[in-house]
Amino acid sequence: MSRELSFAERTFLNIERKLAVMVRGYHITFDEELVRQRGIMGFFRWAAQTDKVTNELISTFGETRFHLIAGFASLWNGCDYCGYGHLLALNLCIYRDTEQLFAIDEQEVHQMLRLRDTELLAFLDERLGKSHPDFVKLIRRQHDLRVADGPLQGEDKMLVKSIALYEWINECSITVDAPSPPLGPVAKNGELRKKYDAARAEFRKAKAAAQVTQQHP
Amino acid sequence: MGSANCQVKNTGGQLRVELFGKLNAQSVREVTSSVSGELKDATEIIFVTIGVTDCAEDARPELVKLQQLVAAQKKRSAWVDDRSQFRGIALWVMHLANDQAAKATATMEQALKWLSSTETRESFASQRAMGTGR
Repeated sequence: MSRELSFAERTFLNIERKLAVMVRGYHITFDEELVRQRGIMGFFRWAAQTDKVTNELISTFGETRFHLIAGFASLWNGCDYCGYGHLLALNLCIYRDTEQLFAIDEQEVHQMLRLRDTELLAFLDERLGKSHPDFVKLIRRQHDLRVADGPLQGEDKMLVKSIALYEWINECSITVDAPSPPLGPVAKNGELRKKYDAARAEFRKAKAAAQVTQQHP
Repeated sequence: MGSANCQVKNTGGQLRVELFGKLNAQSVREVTSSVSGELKDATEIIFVTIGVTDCAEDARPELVKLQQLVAAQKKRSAWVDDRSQFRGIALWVMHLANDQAAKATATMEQALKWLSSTETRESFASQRAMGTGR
């Protein structure tokens, strides 16, 4: 089904991964599949082209909303790796800016994947309707643009671009599984990651304790 | 026509394969057997997995073989499910089967639109992402 990488390709990946961690703070694990499918030069072309579109999306939506739309564009395609990585990056951005935990934990990606699309939209309403109604509106619009054609207005053109970009990226990222690193520049902020992880762990512990109390009062 | 886990129906050259229940390696092999007999008379295939409740790990390589059979006969196909998880499995299957004429969709309308087009999955996505496509 899939070919073995050549010695040169494996060597390239070892170097590329080290450089990626130094420059971006993380490396993607589906780089292997990208090289397998496209070769080394094809990998560079893919990286340059997807980076260009990513930067356009960040310019339009800003870093935080970019991770929101990137995460859900991936979730609609069933890619847990990118869904998790962008949701984690979104969580980090929100924690950095507000010192508050976002209402959706990155570990809930698998639960969201199992939902029917209408159920997932209802889940978003329930979790984010009060705290982030603008986020819900954006994701609902992205979903609607994904499933049906219609007149485009406002940010629609860029939302359509986000859908296409992640259909392109998920073609190879579908071969790897979550958990993934935060898929964005925020990955370089190690101190933030430590604080976020500690706060999230505390929250999960309290949530688990509350569930036990509810089941065995 | 079909097996315990599928119904296969050919309507005017469009083969509709409806899968349901728990899929494992054996049940997918039975599906493949049902589909292979019908493939040559079909122009396109729609796999509907909305009724599938579980897809075991050992079913997945068998699904890849099924998709490879479709690709070998150069038939266009779409997989329909309103759950991300199963669209993800379908994308994984068509990627590993190296079938660019297949697409995972959330609705039947999207599936029919895909089947009526001549696009290939990845180039369609990349062109739209870079703003050079429709």
